[in-house]
Amino acid sequence: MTELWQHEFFRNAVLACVLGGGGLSIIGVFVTLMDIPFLGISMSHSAFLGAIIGLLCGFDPFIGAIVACALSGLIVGPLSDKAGSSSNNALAVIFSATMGLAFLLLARIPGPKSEALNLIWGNILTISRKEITILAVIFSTTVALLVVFFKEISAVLFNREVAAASGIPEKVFYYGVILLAGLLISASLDIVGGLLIFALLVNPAGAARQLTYRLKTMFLFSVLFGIASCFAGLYVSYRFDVPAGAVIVLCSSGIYLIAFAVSAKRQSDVWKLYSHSQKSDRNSSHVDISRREFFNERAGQWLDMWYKDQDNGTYTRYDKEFDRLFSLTALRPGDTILDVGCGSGVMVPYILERIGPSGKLHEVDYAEKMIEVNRSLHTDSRVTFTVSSIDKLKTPEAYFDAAFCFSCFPHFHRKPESLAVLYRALKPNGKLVIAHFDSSEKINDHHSKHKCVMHDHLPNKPEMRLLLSNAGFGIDCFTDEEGFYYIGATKRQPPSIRVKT
Amino acid sequence: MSAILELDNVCVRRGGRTVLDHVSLILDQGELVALIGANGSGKTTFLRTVMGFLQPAIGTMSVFGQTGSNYRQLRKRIGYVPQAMSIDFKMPMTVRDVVSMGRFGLVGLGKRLGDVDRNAIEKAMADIGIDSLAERPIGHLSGGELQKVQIARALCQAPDLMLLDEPTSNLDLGAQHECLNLISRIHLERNLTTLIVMHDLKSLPEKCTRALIIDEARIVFDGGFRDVFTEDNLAHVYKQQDMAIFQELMTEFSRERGSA
Repeated sequence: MTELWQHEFFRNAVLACVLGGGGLSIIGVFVTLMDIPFLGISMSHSAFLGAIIGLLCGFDPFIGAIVACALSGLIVGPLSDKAGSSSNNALAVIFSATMGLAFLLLARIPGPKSEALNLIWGNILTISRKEITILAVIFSTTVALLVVFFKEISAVLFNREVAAASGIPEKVFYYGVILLAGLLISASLDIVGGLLIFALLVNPAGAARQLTYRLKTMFLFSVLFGIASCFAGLYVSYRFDVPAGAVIVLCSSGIYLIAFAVSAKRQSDVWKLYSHSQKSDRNSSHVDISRREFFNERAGQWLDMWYKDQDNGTYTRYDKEFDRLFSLTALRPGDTILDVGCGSGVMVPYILERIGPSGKLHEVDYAEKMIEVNRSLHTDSRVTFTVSSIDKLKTPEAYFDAAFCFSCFPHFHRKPESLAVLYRALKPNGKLVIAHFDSSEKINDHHSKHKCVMHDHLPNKPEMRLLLSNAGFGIDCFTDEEGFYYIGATKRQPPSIRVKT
Repeated sequence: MSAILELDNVCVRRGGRTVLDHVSLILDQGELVALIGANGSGKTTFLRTVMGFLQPAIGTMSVFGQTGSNYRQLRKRIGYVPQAMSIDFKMPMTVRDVVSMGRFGLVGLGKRLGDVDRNAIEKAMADIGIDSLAERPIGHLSGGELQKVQIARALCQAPDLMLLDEPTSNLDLGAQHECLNLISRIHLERNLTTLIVMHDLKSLPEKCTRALIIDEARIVFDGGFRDVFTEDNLAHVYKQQDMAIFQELMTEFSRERGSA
């Protein structure tokens, strides 16, 4: 393609891609957020009218188009404000009026009307140097104004009344934005033409909106997508000898579809968990140490604090709840059990009771003091101990019959990764149990009162379901009630979406 | 005490209809006033007139002792919280972005926010208790949180007059209560003159010192809080002919307010 660079028409086309594609995408953000997609159609027909007037009166149709768009752009805002109607309505009125006038005048032009019709169809390969110069001037003005007055423009886009209330001359900016939009649209009509320009206004900005919650990022993405669509269109039209305008439009639609499909907003539940886990990962040394210290400091008194029956001094306060838990999760003699986040081992007696002499129990916690206390309390040879955080736990594959996360799941700060570890550790059809002896509401409330575990929340039900099914578990039972939270899940066939570990 | 807001025989007309009819009113520094009226009685019109969005056809209005020759400057001293539903909360913006808008007018055209502004923004968010939400997209907030964002935005403007348009509509009872407490607290802490527009007598803030009732574009009652609950007034607010409802309301009120 390099030999093409010697041709002026090609250099102009490349410039038009950057200036027009970028510029229209900026205007596209305005149009999308102000909800006036009709602006594109309305302005391109004003441009058409201007071009025809130019031809009739003997001046440059391109200049005519720009002047007509500027005038329309100036009228839209005040017209809609004065009429008390929406801007879309004003645009529709202008569109129909210019269209009517254009057809009336078109009939009066003798001979071929290709010069005017060019504006409707457009051709990126026939853009002249003069058109590029005008486009460049309008584009740089737009960018400069956007940069300088970004805060005012963002306030006006958010809400005109709020902008006015804070003391911004909102009318100036609102009308100004529409005027700029008109100018840029008329100057870039040659790229894809008036009929298809709609696509470059709507698609890149729409795609950008799918991907971000920030206005600045939306502008940047939109411009990138717009320019990329134009380049892609230019290349494909050169390679396969098809009309550039149509391909540009299709590329921008494609980008929109891709953005829609991968949009984090739509998958917000997973995405939030991901971004949260990544964020906490970045500070993990800090967070983990303070959290581990929290549990280490309390290891000695943990059982006394939470599980002691005040009447007889044994750790049988939750006998009834444990019975209910194990009635839901049947353990058989000989089972191999994994107990993660085991703490000082409240579950050990209950599990040992059920797995018979040949069973095995593996206790895991990342607070070494907890394991120390646990080890000193439970000297049974069936129990082994490991100090490790769950997401970094090394176990044999498909080894355990059941895994328990009792009163610990909120503290896993890399939940998808942790579930992946458990998935790998369990035998096919192995059971995963996540349980608390409180409702999720109480647990979250309780954690929020302690500074270093305050962000350790139990995800809500839909999030939980999503997490488990993404990790390859099928949920058999989900109870969340006063005093009892229980999820029983089974390891299914390899999951379709695997979480990277 | 100096008058913050003074309306003298103000009439506002729109589309051949009188939407404010000979309204006279003086609001003093530090008052917390409720403006109550049925839907369509002219409450929002009144606020929009005070904000200078609508111009009086007759009568004069002065804000902070100045008549509105350069209204855009006066507006910077008024914190305005419009009805939540008039705002598109799908904008790609975060809570901090929206709160920052309160400073935009004060900073000046084309100028960047400085340290003073940033401090004011963070302080307003902390004050309202939404600092932990600062990075949250506004589309991810509950109704009560959105209302707090709006109040924080108005507050970081460091206003001398606060206008709130039905801040509790569309909120559940708990959130209504929280929102009204917040408004009372701000009013007390800053001695901030506050005018709050409501359509419901039942959920008036307790610290409210004065109530206005507006009906068919006219202010029909202006008086102390305890005197509001008369049958006449209730009929203005609720537009109901069935007096049995009022009896119920009034006994409820006399019980509540009597014990307070």
